[in-house]
Amino acid sequence: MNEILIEATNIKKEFSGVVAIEGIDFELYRGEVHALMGENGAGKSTLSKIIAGIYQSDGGEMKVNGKVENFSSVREATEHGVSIVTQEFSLVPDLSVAENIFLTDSKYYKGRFIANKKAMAAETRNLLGLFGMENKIDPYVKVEELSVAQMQVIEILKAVSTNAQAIILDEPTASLSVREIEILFDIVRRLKKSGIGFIIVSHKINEIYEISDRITVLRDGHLILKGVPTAELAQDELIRAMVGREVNDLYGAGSDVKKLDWAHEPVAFEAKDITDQNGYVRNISFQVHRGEIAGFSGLVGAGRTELMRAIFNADPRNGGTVLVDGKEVKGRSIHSSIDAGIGFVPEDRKVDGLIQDLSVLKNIGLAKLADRGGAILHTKEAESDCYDMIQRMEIKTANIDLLVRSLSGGNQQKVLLAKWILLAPKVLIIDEPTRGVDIGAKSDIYAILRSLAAQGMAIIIVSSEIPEVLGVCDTVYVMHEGRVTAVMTASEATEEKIGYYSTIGDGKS
Amino acid sequence: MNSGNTLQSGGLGRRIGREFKTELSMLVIFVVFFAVMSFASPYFLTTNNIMNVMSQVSSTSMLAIGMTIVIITSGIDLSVGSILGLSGMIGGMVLMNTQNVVLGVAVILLVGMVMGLVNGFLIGYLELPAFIVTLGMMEIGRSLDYVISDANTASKFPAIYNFLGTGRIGGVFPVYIIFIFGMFAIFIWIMAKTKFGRFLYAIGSNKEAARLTGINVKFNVMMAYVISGLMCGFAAWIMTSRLMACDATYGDGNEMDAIAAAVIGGTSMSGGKGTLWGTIIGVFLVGFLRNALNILGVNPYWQGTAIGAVIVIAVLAEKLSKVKVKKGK
Repeated sequence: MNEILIEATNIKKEFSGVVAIEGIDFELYRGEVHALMGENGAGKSTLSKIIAGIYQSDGGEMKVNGKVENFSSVREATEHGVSIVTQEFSLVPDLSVAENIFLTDSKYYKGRFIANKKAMAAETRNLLGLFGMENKIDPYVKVEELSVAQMQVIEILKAVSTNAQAIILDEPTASLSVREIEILFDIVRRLKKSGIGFIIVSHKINEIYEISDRITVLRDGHLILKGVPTAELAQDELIRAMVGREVNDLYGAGSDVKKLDWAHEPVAFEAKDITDQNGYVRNISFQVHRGEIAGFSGLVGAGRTELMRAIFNADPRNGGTVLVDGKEVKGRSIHSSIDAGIGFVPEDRKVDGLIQDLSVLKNIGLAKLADRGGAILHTKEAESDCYDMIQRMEIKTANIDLLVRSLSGGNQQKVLLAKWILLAPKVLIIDEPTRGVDIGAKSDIYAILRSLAAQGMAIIIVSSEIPEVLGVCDTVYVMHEGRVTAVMTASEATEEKIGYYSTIGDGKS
Repeated sequence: MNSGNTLQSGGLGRRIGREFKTELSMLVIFVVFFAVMSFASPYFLTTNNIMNVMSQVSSTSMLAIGMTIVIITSGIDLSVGSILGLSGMIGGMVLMNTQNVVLGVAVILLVGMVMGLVNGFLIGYLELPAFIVTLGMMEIGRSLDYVISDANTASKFPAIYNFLGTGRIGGVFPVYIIFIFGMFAIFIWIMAKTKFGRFLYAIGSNKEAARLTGINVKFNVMMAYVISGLMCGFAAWIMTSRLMACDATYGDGNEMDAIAAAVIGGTSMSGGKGTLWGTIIGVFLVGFLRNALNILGVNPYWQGTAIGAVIVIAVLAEKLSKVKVKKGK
C-alpha cells in the first residue's frame, strides 16, 4: 500500500483577481517520483510553490503526513520536511559547500554564532558519501567554483540535511548535460529508495519517462491528468493532455512548406579555420548552403557556443575567416557581422537576448534600428514591422507596449527571433532555439525555421536536444571538446551516433 | 494590418497611461501638494514666488537632465556638482579677463564636456565602475576649482552676461524659464524619439543583449557622460549669469539634488527605466517643497527630513507597484 505523504485537495490560487490555478488535487506518495507537467503558464510552478510555502493558497486544503498544514513560509515548509530546489539557486557563492549546506542549522554554530567548519565539512563528506561523490566535491571549495550540476547536487544535499521527506525539483535538468542528468537521476533514485518523495516539475518528456513513477498534468490552471502511472501513459496521450490538441508532427516534417533543394543551392555561409579566443575551439571550418538548416550537437561545454560567438564576433577570435555569399566579413565587430547579413540568437534569452524592461515593440525593432535606422525613430514603420512579426510568428501578447518580461518563455523566444528575422539576414545562427519553451511554441518555432529556410535563408542551430537536431536539421555536426567529431546528413544521423561522437570523438580530425 | 489579431492597441490615452504610470502618479502628488499649499498660504501661488522657485531650481534642473540620462544607462555621475563649479570658475575667469561673453560661455560648456568625456571614456571604454570614477572626478574637480581660483571669487562680468539668468523678454517673461523648458523639451525628444535615446534605455536595461544586437555600447555610454558634462556647463552658465559671480563653492553638493530629482521622478537606479517628464516633476517637487517649508515658517533644519522622506516614499511606491505587477503574472 502506498503511503500518502502530501495530499492537496481543491487548491486554488489567484493573483490580483486572476485565477492562476483552481480545483487542483494532488497526491505524493512516499518513495515515488511524481512528475508535474504542463506547458508554460499551466500553473505547475504555482502549485509547486504553494506546496513549498513560497505562495499561500487562496482555497483548498493541504495535508502533510495526514495533518492539515498551511505553510506561511519556505522555512515553515522545510521544518515540516518539504523542500524545494528552484532554478534560481539559494546558495551563497562566496561560502564553501559545507557552509552552504548547514547555513541555517544552529547545531553547527558554536554558541549559535561561530561556524564549526570542521563539523560541517565532516557531515558534508558523509552526505556526499551517500551518493559516492565524496571524492568529486570538496566540502571546503567555494560554491562559485562548482558547475551548475554540482550546485544542484548541493541543493539536494541541503534538503536531505534538513531531513526532507518531500523534495520538489523545479526544472532540474534545464542546464545540465546528458551525463550530469544521469548523475542527478541516480541520486534521485537512491533517495527515493529511502522513502523520500520527489515532485519534478518539467516539460522534457523523454526525461520524465525515464525517471518518474506517476504523472500529473495541468493545463491553463486546471487539472487534466491526476497521478497516472507513467507506464500506463502513452507519449502522444501525454502531449495531447499538455497541449490540448494533437501535435503528431512536432518538427513539421510533413508540412506543406516547399523545401529548397539546398544541396544544389549556392553556399551562403562559410567559416574557415575558426579558433576562439581561448584556443579551445580550434581550426573549425564548415559551409552552409542557402536553404540548409545545419545543426550543431554535443554536450554542454563542447565548444559550440564559443564557436558561434567567435563567428559572430560576439567574442574576439584568435583566427579564421567568415564568408557570407562568398565575400569575406572584414571587420571584427558585431556590427560588421550584422552588416554582412549574419543574425545571432544567443543561448540565454533573459541574459543575452532580450531587453526585459523594454516593450515588445521596442525589442522587435532594436536590431533593425541598430543596423539601418536613422538618427530619428520612425514610429509608424516600427509599429507596422512589429504587427507584421506578431502575426507572422503568432506571438501572443495583449499589446505591443507590454514589457517583454511579462510574456511566457515561448513568446519571449519568438520576440527574440522576430528581432533578427526583421533584418532578413542571409545567415541566422540560433543557439538553443527552444530552450525553456513549451511544446506549442516549439512546433511554431520549427515551422518558422522551415519557412525561413524555404525562402533561402541559411540557418545554423546549436541544440542540446538530440531529437530537435534530428527532427529539424538537414546536416548534423557533432562537437566534442572543441573539435568537430562527426558530420552527417540528416538521414545518416541517429541518436546513438550523435551520443557516441559527442562523448568520445573519432580520434581522427 | 492588425486584422485577425486579438491585439488591443488601445487609444493614445491608454498607451500614455501604460508608459508613464510612475510619472502620472508623481504628477498627481505634485498637483495635490500644489493645491493644498495654495490654500495654506496666500504667498505660495503668486507669480513672484513661482518665478523665484524656478530661478532656484534652474541650475539643478540642468544637472538633473544629465543625471537622469546617465542613470538610465545604469550609471551614476557624482561629479556634476564639481564639474559645474570648475567649468563655472574657468569660464568665469575667462569672462572676467576678456569681457568676451561668447568666449566665456564657450569655455564653460567646453570644460563641462571635456570632463564628461574623461568620465565617459573611463566608464564606457575602460569599463571602470561609474560610482568610483565619478567620485574621483568629484574630488579632482572641486580641488582644481580651488587651485585655479585660489579660493577667490570671479566677478566683474560684462553686464550683458546676466541675460540668461535674470533677463526678461519684453521686460516681462524670464529667459531662464524658456531655457529650462526648452532644454527639457530637447532632451525629452532625444530620449523618446531618437536612436541614441532608445539605445541608452536598451543598454541600461541589458548591456550584453544590447551589445549582441549590434549596438555600440562603449560609445553610447561615453556619450551619456559627455551630455551630463555639457549639462553641468549649462548649469554653471545659468548660475553664474544669475549671480554675476563665481566662487569655488558653487555646485557643492548639487549632485545629490540632481539624483533626488531623478529618483523622485521615477528613474530606477538599476537603469533602463525612467523619463525626463518624471525628472521635471522631481525637480519642481523638491524646489516647491523647500519653498513651502520656508513660507510656512518651518525650521530649516527640518527641510532635509522632509525631502529625504519624499525620496524614500517615491522609491517605496515604485517598489510596491513592481511587486503588484510581479504577482499579477
